[in-house]
Amino acid sequence: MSFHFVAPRLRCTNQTEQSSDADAQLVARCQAGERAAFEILLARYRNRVVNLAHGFLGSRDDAEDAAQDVFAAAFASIHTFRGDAQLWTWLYRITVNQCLHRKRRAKPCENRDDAGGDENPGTTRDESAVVVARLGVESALDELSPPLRAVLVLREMHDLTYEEIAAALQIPIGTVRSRLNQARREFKIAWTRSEES
Amino acid sequence: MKCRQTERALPALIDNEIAAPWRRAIEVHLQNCASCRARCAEIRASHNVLRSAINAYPRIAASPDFDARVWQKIAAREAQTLPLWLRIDAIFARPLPKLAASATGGIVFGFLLVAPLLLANRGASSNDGAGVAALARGEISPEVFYTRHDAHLWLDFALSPGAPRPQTSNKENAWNAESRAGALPPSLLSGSLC
Repeated sequence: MSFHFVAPRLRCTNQTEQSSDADAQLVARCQAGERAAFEILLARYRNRVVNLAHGFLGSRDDAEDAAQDVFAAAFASIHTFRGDAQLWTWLYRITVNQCLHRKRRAKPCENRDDAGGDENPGTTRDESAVVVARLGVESALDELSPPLRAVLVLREMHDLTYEEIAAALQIPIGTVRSRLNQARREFKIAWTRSEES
Repeated sequence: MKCRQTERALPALIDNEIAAPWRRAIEVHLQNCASCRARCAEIRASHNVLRSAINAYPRIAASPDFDARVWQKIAAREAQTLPLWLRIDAIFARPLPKLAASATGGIVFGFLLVAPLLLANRGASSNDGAGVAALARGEISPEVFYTRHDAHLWLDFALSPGAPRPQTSNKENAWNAESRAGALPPSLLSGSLC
């Protein structure tokens, strides 16, 4: 006897369906060459794409640069989008590919934000703790391979369902499940080690 | 349902990523199996710790000039799709035009090197009549004229039965020179050229 998990669309509420409809209309307008429609899509998804890229790359500058490339690529190939998937799943897929490409090109430990990050020198103890926690997460994420990091970031940071992750990464749902389990195990080990040190 | 199957399904159960019939079966099993219940609690706690840790990761907002930079990149991409002949930089960025440009440069450079030599020998090899005119004006002697035009070889060949046939290609030169040289000395015109 074997399990066959069917990922339920738990978060497929009316609101998201309406959003998808609105996206479909915007995509149609973009495909007709209307730039204003793309500006709306840009405003709608820019922060999600930037945060996704940040989760992958760890550097704000790199994340912004990658996100800009993602939208430029999306604009160039919007005519190929046929609505088989959700628009943001499609955008996530472009983002993941862009980030994986950048990770392959980047040298190890090159693409990390400074320890201070956005914080100024006068941070309080609480803020320092946040920074330390963030660095622990960053170093633990860095220890994961890009495929494992991808599923973990998409699931834990962006709340994607297994089905959505599978669509974004173009892998079977069973692979999502096994990679996610492995990613959690490895992240926990790495994170515990960084906490202890 | 067995413990091994339940344990495999626990992460998906905790993630709410399991179909309703399986969920019910697992929940029934968990009610009756203390070890699986403990394992489920352990995984759930681990997930919560992990999630709270990851949630410490900062959420960032796109910078104010984000959109402008996106449009710049779009414009750059569109410029890339212009016809090649409109983009000189792109032409020279390609390997084949680079090679062609290098070859052309080499040819021009070589010509500039060789051109003075060609010009210096022009009087000796051309058949434009300049040598003939110079001969007619008495600026060069018949010997010099025929030496330059290889005509003496053909004259020797024509006049002397034992002379070797010239290997040069200046027969036409000599012929043209002869035919246009009204002022040539009669002694040199007495023989016929082959």
